[in-house]
Amino acid sequence: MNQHSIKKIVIVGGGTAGWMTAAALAKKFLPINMDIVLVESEAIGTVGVGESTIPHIRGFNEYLGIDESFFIAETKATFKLGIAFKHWGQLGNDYIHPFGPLGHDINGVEFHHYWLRMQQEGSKYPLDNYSMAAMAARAGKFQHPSTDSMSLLSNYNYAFHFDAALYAKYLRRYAEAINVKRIEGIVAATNLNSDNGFIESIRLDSGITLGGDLFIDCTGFKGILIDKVLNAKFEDWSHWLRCDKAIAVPCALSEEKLTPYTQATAQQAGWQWRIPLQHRTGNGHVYASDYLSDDEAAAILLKNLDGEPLAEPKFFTFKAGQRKQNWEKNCVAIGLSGGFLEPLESTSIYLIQVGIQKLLDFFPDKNFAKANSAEFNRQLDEEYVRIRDFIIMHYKENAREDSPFWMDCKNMSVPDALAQRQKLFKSTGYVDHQQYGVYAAVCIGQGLIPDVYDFKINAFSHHKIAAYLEKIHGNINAAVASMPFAQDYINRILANTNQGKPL
Amino acid sequence: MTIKKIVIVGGGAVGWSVAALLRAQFPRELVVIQLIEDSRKDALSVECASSRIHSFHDLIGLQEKICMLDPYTHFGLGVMYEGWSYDSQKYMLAGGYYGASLDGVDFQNIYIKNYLSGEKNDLDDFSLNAVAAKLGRFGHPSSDSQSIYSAIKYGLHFQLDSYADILKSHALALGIDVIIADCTAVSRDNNSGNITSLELDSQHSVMADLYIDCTGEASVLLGDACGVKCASDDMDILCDRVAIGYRLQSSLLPSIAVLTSTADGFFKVIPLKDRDVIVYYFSSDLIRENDIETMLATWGFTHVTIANYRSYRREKFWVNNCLAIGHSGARYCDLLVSPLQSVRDSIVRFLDLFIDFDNVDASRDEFNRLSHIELDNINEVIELHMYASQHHSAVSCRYFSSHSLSSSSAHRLNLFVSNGRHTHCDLSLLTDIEWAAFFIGNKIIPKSYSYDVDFLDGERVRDFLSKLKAVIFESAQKIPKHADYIKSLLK
Repeated sequence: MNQHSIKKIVIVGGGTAGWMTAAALAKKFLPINMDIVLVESEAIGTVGVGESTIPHIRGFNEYLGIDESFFIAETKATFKLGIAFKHWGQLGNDYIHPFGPLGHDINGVEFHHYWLRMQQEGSKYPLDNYSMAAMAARAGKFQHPSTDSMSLLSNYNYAFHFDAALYAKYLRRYAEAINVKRIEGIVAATNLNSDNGFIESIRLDSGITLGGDLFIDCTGFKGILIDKVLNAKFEDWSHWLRCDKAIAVPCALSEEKLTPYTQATAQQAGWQWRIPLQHRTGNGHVYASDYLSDDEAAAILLKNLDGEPLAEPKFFTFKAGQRKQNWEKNCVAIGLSGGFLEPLESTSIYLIQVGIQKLLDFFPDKNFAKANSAEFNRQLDEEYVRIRDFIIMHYKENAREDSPFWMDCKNMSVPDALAQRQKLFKSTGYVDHQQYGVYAAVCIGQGLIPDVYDFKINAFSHHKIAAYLEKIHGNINAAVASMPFAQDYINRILANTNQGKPL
Repeated sequence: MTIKKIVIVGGGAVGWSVAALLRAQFPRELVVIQLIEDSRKDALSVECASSRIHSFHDLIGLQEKICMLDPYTHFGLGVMYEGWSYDSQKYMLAGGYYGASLDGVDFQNIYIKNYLSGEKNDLDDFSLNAVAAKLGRFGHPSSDSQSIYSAIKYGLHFQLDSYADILKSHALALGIDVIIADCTAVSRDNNSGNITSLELDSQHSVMADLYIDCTGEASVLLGDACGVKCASDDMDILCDRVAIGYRLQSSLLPSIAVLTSTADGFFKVIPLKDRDVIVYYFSSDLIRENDIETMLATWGFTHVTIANYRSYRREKFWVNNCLAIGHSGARYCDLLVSPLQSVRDSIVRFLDLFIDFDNVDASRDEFNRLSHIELDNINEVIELHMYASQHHSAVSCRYFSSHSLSSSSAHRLNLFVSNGRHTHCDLSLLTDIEWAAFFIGNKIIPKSYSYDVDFLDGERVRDFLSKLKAVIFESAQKIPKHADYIKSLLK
């Protein structure tokens, strides 16, 4: 062991971020005797963000060595093939952001150019028609993607909807089983080094003092260490992302078959989520309080449930933005203490995961080199900004004139890089592949239709392209028809899973 | 759909690379592509292309065998840097991989921990490319990813006039129209700024929808006609002359280019099949042209020509309907990055962004933005190279009397020095391990290494490294002798 090695890590705050961090660090440092402590209090509730995820979550579970079937049983999870956006861009719009590609590129030209040409020449088929993930989602079908890369049934990806509180609970058991020490308590005071301002220890309300080399702040919006103690500045993005409140309520499952996608329905001043789990449906309404009162927001949400509400609605207040330094001195903020972006693209848990991954990539030694934390912060910022801009784009690209909220969003000025990217897509259909998700599908879904398609495909006749697109659609339909319903598929998995056998 | 027309001005390796790629990718029924081959002589005479050349050749459909049948073209396995930061310095930037990971811990960190504990292994000994090159061996990489020979990565060394001829025949076979003439005048529309026609000394006049300027430093279209200025001298290395000569060799040389620092500049010696070529950048106030000629003559280099040299980049590379590729847009010295590789990258970037003749505004902005990022990255490589050698190399020392490290270079350096880590950027030129080889080769050693190396037992690591070295050496010895390999290849 190196004399400069970190020997003790203190994680403050349980919840999704805290336990994900604890589990990942404990797993990583299993070969050595790392001292990891997590402090949390039963008295403080967790936000339990992000019941809906993106496919990266599977990599995280794989890293921890968690069996998927077990995870599904334990967290009441369901499969997810994408996000269905209703009334976004324009009232009556309905498109899917699919987890998986659109059609196939041909001759180095991306598929959406072929689709665009057909639209210009009179075709009315939606882009969703050419996505395995979107078509399967609409049909309520799911099975694991085939490992045969030649098969259409391999041509999609998937994530989960799950109960974040159950996930945190499960990760707690996992982490405690591999030597993470949990201490019940509330941080009462923090002791800083008088020379360099580093955190030396925290004192809990019980009187216990906990020293550490590295402190991870998972205390949610409060940011007890990163904000209150180290005063890391918060960059406010609410002028682009105006929604500042959410109201959440679970409801009973509907009669209909399980939908393997998240529903995001635009409302007059925000949007509503619908996330089906095994035992209930999670619902929420994210809205801008400048445009809508809490009562109005609650009324909209309750009116649009597809089952009996199972609890009292819970309100949340937030502000879109990010801390300028998620890593300050010897303290790293992971989760809501580092930044908040609304869950429109299901990225809350993903951002926790990115924070953990980058912490492991740039894990410090006791010298805490400035360049090291600077690179962590730079890479994390890049990720936040990438997702931020993607979410802003959903608001900006709209043609709705039915409410002041949407008209104001349409008229707002957006970050320069996003404006340039949108201009490039609008005028040429060019997609920057560093961007998040299936960019072309979302732009087109929002109503941002490129003015031109790639001129090179004019070398093919209309008839030839039309026939080609029809063939893709036909093949996808046939493949989807061969898939089981998501509901039946998950029932089968649950029937075959031995519950209650952790690790 | 009306048929569009693209005119490329200037031949050479640059012009014919552009012509071949566009002709291979743009349907003939939609676009006419014409190349005006002018009498200008290429400033570059030789190229040491990295393994990235292969994907370009795939795009234009050029077979490697055609290149190898050429009397000059040689395989390249890496570049050796000599005498930059200390007298006896010799390290290679070889393509391909170094070492292997152990229990998921990456090789660089294992190497550094061992180095810091006092075992100063030569990093080159862990590169199959470097070891094979030094032994005068060559073979194509194995396509079996399980084989150690899949670790080989090779490039090609070209005599550029000859390579231009290869590209030209290829482009002609693809259907390029060629006019042999010099451009005497350029007409532009005063309102739009678009080029409307070119007058040629053959009394022709040509019109096109898009003009591509491959006229080198003269920058006949972008610089002269469209008036796009040089933006900054950030890439300047304070050498104002470049001497080029060659010496014939009776036997095949190893596939290593050598880049050496001297008291008055630096030179690169690039082996071709029957000769090696020297490209000597120097500063005319440190040494006279005559003395350079004499010096090269003592080393056996003949047919020496000396030309002026300067580094620059223009403010933009694509304005209106005029796109500059190569020296017409920017020039920098080929310390680590082949200028022709950035030509290839530029054309591929253009191809990627060019969607429609009548909607180019946003594509053009993006092309210019990305091109500047690429040049910033090249500048970072040059800067750090100079930084590493500033206490030993005359040119580098002078460079730092008038430059300072940009913040991105300083960050990259600090990150490596403190923890042996790497920052990532868009359009990155070197891989992490190549950066590590560069730093370590200049004795810039991290103070610390990644924590997970400590998961490994020290004895086991030492054993692993010595076995690795032995396996690489034995494997390299089994690779055919370069001369034999080429002979059998061309049979």
